[in-house]
Amino acid sequence: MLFRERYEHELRLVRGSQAWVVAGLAGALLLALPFLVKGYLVYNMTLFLVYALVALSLSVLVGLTGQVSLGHAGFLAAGAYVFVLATQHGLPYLLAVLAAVLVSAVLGVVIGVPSLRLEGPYLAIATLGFGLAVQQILTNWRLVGASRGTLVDRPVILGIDFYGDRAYYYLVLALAGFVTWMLFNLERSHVGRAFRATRDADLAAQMSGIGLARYKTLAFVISAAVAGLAGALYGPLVGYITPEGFNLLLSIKFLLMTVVGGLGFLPGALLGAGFITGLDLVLSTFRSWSQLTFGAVVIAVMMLEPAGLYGRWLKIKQFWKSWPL
Amino acid sequence: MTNDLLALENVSLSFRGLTALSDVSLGIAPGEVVAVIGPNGAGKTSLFNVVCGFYRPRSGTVRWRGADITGKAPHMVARLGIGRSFQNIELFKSLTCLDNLLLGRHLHVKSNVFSAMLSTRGWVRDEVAQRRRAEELMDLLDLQAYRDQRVGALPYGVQKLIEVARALAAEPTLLLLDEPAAGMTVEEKDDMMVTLLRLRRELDLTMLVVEHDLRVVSRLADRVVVLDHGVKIADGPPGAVQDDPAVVRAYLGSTKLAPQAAGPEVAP
Ligand SMILES: Nc1ncnc2c1ncn2[C@@H]1O[C@H](COP(=O)(O)OP(=O)(O)OP(=O)(O)O)[C@@H](O)[C@H]1O
Ligand SMILES: [Mg+2]
Repeated sequence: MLFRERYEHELRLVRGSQAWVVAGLAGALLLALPFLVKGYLVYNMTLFLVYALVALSLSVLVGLTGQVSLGHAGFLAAGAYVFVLATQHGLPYLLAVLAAVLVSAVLGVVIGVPSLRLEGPYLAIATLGFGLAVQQILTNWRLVGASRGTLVDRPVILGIDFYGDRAYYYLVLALAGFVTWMLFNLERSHVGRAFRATRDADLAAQMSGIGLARYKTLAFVISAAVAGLAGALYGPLVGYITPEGFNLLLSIKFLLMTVVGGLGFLPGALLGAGFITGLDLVLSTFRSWSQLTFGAVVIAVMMLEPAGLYGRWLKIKQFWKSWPL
Repeated sequence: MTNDLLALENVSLSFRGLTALSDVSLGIAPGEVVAVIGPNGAGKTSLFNVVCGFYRPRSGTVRWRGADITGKAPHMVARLGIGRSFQNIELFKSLTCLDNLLLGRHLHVKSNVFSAMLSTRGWVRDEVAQRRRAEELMDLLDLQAYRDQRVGALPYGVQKLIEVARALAAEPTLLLLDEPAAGMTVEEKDDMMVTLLRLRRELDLTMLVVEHDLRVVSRLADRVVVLDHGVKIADGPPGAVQDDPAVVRAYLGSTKLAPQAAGPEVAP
């Protein structure tokens, strides 16, 4: 029974005192910060949570299975617009969110299955096409306001009004937190292992009983569903969505978050989302040079640490472990 | 012949005119260890690929316990109980030794995605069971020292052993080993053979092994099958095959059939 305890200990998501300190601090910060900062920063923190979900969803797809997507703004858009349509049809909030997740998941199958035959740059181009197509469809779709866009209300659930920035932040935190927990569970499970196996050695993966088509599609579906959820949370946050808002640049920004954060590790996506959202915020003050500075900073980070922010963190941790005390 | 575990019936395979296998028939009874030898390019790996479903033969049938499994998808073949190690290392390089063995056990996992995402008790129980078996296997093969190391960074000989261990982790009924000792140093090779002999004794395995070293083959195998240019030219006990004039001729054309036969080599 001693062994059993050891195995179960190894399955914990947070292990060791150091990890608990980091997780505890991050949790406390996320809970307390809205009361300590100004209103517009609460808005930006919510935006971070939404972006973090998309970065996580991309990290599952790109980091674990090695399938690159340049069209994740498309899934975000799908989630946002399905949510709007669902609420317009009188669906209660949580069901509208669920509808956004489900429709995005279906889109994940639609994109994922044909993508099985594509690899590397070809897959990237195909997903790019998907993102552009979604934008085009929305631009021509009168029912959802076409290119003018549409208003999105913040929800009232069981009589509780989430109109305020702070209230809405906590709603997003609860949903995003839950899904993040699910994705971390997924990563360390047999499914996460199978995802990595298809990326590392597909012949051996098959001889281990892993159906490549099934797992690659599954990764697409999970990724799309989470990005769809992010979309459903994004609409009410910004209050007004237009097709133009879900452009290629946004898709690239999501990919950037996962790469800067550290490809192949889910915590990296969180760091990357935080870093890029923060950088955007800081740079918005000096508008004319923001693009250039943004590019320069990203290049600098990648040159200093190709393994990304999380890769750097792992190295620091290793350094302290081997430090003679 | 009818109670053969695996049977190939008149299997032919070609790649754009090049014949890799030509009318090969072969049966393996439960508990039997069969060695496949032959010069470079003889079709040994192709034979494995046909059995595993990576290649579909031009004609002929592959039977598993009598049922036709020709052209079945590889992951379904694995689920029937056929395990395989690869000639060129096909490990999950960025993962640890433990994770590689756990992936070997993937087909024993019963939990679904949702229980994994929600980390249900059922999933934890399942995962712990898989980990216990993987851990036992690492004890058996002396791999504990590499447990948490990324396999891509391990020495070649260790990687070859993990490759075998991962195939074993699935607890296959039939184990296909494609040159498990290729490219190893003499000592590593001896270790591998001692390990295989021990596994054979302790786990009562049915094996199909590609191996060039006749010294090893005669100790490990009940039967030797010789392929040359895709044709089966001999099939019998090690002693008899070694003296077969056709076999000697096939080897004279390429490498000398000596106690260490065709040694380590670079192959596709
Ligand atoms: N995917 C493929 N495409 C084209 N030709 C192939 C392919 N796989 C194998 N061949 C050819 O089929 C023949 C048999 O190859 P195979 O790999 O089965 O030989 P082998 O007996 O395993 O050789 P070695 O001892 O070098 O591993 C060779 O001539 C090889 O070039
Ligand atoms: Mg070969």
